[in-house]
Amino acid sequence: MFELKKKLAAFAAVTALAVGLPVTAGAQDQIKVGILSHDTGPFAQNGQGFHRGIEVYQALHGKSAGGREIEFVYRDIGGPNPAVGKRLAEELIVREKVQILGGFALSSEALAVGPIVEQTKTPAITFIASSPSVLAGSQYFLKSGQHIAQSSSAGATFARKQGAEKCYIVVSDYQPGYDAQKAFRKTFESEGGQIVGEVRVPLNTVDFAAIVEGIASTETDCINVFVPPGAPAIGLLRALAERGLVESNFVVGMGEAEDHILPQYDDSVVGFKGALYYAEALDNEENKTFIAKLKELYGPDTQPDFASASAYDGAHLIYEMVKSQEGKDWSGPDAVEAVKGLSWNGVRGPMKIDPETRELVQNIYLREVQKVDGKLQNAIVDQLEAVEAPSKEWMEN
Amino acid sequence: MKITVSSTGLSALDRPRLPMIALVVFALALAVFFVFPDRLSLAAYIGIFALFALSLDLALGMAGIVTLGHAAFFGVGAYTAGWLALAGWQEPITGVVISGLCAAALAGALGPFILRLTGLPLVMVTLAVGVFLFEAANKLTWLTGGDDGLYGMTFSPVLGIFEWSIYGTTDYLYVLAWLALAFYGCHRLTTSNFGLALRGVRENRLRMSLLGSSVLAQLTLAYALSAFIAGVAGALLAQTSEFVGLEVLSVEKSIDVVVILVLGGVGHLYGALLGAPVYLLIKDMSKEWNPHAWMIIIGFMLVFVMLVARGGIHGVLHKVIARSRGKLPNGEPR
Amino acid sequence: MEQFLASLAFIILYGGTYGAVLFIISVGLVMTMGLMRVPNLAHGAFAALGGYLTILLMNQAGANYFVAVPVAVILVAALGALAERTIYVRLYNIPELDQILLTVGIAFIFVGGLALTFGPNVFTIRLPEVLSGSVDLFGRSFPVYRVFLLAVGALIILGFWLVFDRTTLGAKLRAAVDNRSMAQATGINVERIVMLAFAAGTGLAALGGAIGAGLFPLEPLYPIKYLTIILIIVALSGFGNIKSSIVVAMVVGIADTAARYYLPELGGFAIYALVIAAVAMRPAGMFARQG
Repeated sequence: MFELKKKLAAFAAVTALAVGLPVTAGAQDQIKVGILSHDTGPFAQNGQGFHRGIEVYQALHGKSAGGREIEFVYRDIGGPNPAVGKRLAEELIVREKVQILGGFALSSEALAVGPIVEQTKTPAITFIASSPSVLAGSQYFLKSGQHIAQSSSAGATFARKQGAEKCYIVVSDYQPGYDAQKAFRKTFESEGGQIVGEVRVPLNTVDFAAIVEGIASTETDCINVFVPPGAPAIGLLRALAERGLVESNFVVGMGEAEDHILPQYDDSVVGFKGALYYAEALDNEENKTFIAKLKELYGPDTQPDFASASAYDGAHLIYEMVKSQEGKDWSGPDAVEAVKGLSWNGVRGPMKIDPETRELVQNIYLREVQKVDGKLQNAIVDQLEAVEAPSKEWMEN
Repeated sequence: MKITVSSTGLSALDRPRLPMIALVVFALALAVFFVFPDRLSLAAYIGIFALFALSLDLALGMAGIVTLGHAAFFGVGAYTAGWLALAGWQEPITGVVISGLCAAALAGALGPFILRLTGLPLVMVTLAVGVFLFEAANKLTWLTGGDDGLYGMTFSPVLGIFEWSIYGTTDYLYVLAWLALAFYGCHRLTTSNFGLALRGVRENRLRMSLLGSSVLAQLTLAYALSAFIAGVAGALLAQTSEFVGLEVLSVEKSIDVVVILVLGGVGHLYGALLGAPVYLLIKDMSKEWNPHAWMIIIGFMLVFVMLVARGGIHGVLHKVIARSRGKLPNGEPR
Repeated sequence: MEQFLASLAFIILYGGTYGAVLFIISVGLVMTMGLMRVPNLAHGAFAALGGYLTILLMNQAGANYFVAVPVAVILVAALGALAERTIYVRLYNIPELDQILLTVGIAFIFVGGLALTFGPNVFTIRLPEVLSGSVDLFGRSFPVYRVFLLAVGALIILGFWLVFDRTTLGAKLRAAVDNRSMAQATGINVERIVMLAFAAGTGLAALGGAIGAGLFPLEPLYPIKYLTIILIIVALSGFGNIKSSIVVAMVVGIADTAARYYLPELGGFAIYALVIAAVAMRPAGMFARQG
């Protein structure tokens, strides 16, 4: 038996050799970046944003940095399927020999891939995944999106600034909804407001009239919403508007009414507000160049959204990491170390990587849907500068 | 409405020995290990789905239980394996067995209630039970991690020797071993008296109960055995990905596994072995060409299999082989 | 108390409109299940197609809403008739599992095709001015759109009653649902009736998809996403039982809406619990004569 165990161990060692040793990267002249994206399924809208953001960045800044050519390889997860995300991440590292990972529309994908990122010391940039626990998955995770509480808390602060006293919170009944709900409630209450009602809406809800009826029977001057973009967001906002609540309340959400979704609403959505780290209407050089190139590449009707903006800023972070290793042997950990504390102007305005937490410090904008020249669009009506992500302790208590 | 399941193949009596096809498939599967060392993650994933489809074949192909909720057992297996590891029970093989038993227990509890039904009502109730579990897992975040998933688990090396790695070497051989074991078990089962009785139930439930056979007990036992294997497959997914996401319980998973089995061929066990690689490889490859194409391709394949190539890939192979030997299955005229 | 009654009244009204859309989308499948015993899992795809065609007609051809919807319905009904003659006709004598899989295959083709043609975005249909306001009801505002849905639902019920109880076609249809071979033997052209019924069923689904887009926004996954709720209506109605499908759709619509209002945290479960209980107790449908 003991003999057999020895033999098996030897066999295990041999097969490991046959299959190849960990990726050893020398001073090669190419860096491959694997993007975990969604080209099909319910999050395909985000995947489209990832492709466009990165392609626009490459069109504007060329396909190489720091003396190395940068190539992007995409993989489609095709729906909420973190196990497939993990498998694709392994394939990207083992087969495609990528040195950097990016993408991650869902937090569960980042959490599933975390152990591989840690084990292979591969820097990974999450474009959207915003769960508070994402960065804890590995020390090589960075973000180009947000911590969910940055926007949620900012929404509460904006509401208080506008004099809102009594707020009702309505979120989708799933983990991101719970995080958003908690952050909004804590901030709103700590700034002197009162939460008069909270409801978690089942994800399979089609008709939101009943939920809205419940809100309307409560006395409120403010409603906070967090539901996934797409059918749920459209359904809830329409129901709120039908009931006249968008007009009578300070209704603040997050990414429910991106500019390219606005044609799906009628005028009743006018007045809806969203607190988020990006807005199409942002008046800065980087954003103007970004939008101009986007329209040039994909047609004049194309509009940016938080997914394409995050991918663009994420691509910048990737280029900065590659530049930091110019003339040296490529080292993932060194590249991550080099961009900690980095600050730059993204399409969302000034942003900085907090060297301690690796979270982003960034502005949060209050956007309001307005009708200009017969067309619905988001205008920026307020902003909070250099918003930091809350601590783990704050989120947990 | 009476349920009938396609049965274009041979009856159990004609196949006492382990079918050649199975040996060929397993030989090919072993060859994959040496020929495609950089695709073993995908190969392990395919193996897990072959196992899942095999479990469905016990329920659907042998016992005629048409279900759209088999992911319930896959999911229970996956979460059990995850919880065990998080609680400190990191030994993988016993973990798999315990997970399978949990899934079987659930099936054993549900069976007496839902297996009285047939036809669309049965389909609807299995579907509803599946959705119910999914919704429950989404809400019980303290237990399942909800939408974020269950993470942070690690497993000890298999047999204390084989370390897990991102190359999927251990993963693949480990999954393959479980698959071979389960396949052999299922094969023995189909040729046993119990297997014959199940076929009797599938063909004519009324006649079997008139013959004095306790149909419900037999169906429940078959359902539990099937759930055990589904739970094993789920546990293997949890162990190889060190993560459990809500999707293990989704309706899409239930539909996927039915499609895999039907493409491969229902009721022959090795239909599961053929269907999983074909389905998942087409999905993987067609996406590189056009991401939306795979839905269309799989859709056309289903229509084709149902209208033209009844019996799935296995059925077609079987006919080709039989024709080359100069005879057709079941004594059909040429 | 007054507040409670007013809310209850509105829950019933909102639930009723939701139920009306569910009825319009599902009734075709209830009918064809009764006639042909084919669980057509691609039924939702015809509903989605109706909605997308309406968008296409409005945006590309500039058609008015009240023109685009009927044209889309007629086109889908014609396609339904064609599909019945070419594909579905071959399903009548194959095992049920194969029918399920084949129709799932058709649904997959639609999902992929819609994603390729229209992209991943979610669409709703812009309502005409007439339908976008609201009316006063018990001193509260109630959307005209929902009144419109109720009215269309009522018209269809009236239409069914007229066709079924007042025409020979209806009599033949009922005969074919009750006993197909007997109807055939008495000289009824069952094939033609089946084709007409299938066309009507898919056309109604298309109507539901088009006018119901305000509740069920259009997206490529529509055919699969809403399959469960459609199947729930069919399973609870029993095969071919159109009268009970009216009641079932309304009960499901109102019960679902009420559960989400009074117990929002558990609202997602209510409908499935209802299904499990109802089907387990009365597998042939809620109002079927249990044999």
